[in-house]
Amino acid sequence: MNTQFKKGVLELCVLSLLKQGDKYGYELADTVGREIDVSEGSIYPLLKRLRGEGYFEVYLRESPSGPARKYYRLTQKGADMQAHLESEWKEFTQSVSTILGGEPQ
Amino acid sequence: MTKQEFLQHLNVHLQPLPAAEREDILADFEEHFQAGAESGKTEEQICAELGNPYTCALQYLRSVPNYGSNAEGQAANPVPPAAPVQPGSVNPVQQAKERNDTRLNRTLWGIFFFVLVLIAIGAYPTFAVLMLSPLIVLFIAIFAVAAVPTGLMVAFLISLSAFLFVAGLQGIIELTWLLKYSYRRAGF
Repeated sequence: MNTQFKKGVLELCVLSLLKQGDKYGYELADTVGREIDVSEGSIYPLLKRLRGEGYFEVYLRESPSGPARKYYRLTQKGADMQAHLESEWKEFTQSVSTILGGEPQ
Repeated sequence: MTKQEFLQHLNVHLQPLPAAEREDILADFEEHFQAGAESGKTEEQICAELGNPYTCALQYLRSVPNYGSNAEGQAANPVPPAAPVQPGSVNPVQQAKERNDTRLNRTLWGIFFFVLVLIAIGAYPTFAVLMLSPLIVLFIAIFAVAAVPTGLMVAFLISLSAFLFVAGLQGIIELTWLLKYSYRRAGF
């Protein structure tokens, strides 16, 4: 799959996963990595950038085993962005499906 | 690749970033290895899933606005120049970049200063000799004027002496100014 294309989709994936609830880095990387063919290492730079843009905030929470983990929580700005990207994504895939001759959703 | 190797490679490639930021990034990966190990994965497996540490580092560097001249990276991370900045909040990425720039600039000025010092060791005596050389010209002039006593010859010799003296003086003044300026910019 095209790298640039995948990068844009990753942003939507991470924001959507966080919409379901707070998660720590490994959970996000592992979930995305299992579904999409992408190096999990590229999730962390993405997380850092999105955090810098104010889409989520981080806090530390003790883990049952080992040191505290960094959890990510979606901000209102992040939730807005997620909604925006999701609608864009749906619109986009619908258009592509139409062109491909499949049934529009 | 082991965890240690991965983190080492990542750290090396992240060198352009400030130390605090690098530690922060490495801590994220430490945590990833820890969590991966807890879910029963080997270090090899986790490294394979993480991918190339170099590619990974590059993504961090690209998220620093205008780092390097990678057009793709800049297109992927457009930073609007007039982004509304809330009062009291400074863009950490921008801040990091500025810190980085200053450090790089200082190092470059430092190197420049040392090169100048090396040049100065040779150049100062040369300029000094150049300033004194009119004396020799004037000494020769006594014989020259005695042999060919014309106004033109006198004028030529005087202007030659003046030129040599001014050239040497100018060299000394400019080199001193450059030394002082680069010393100040390097911030020793």
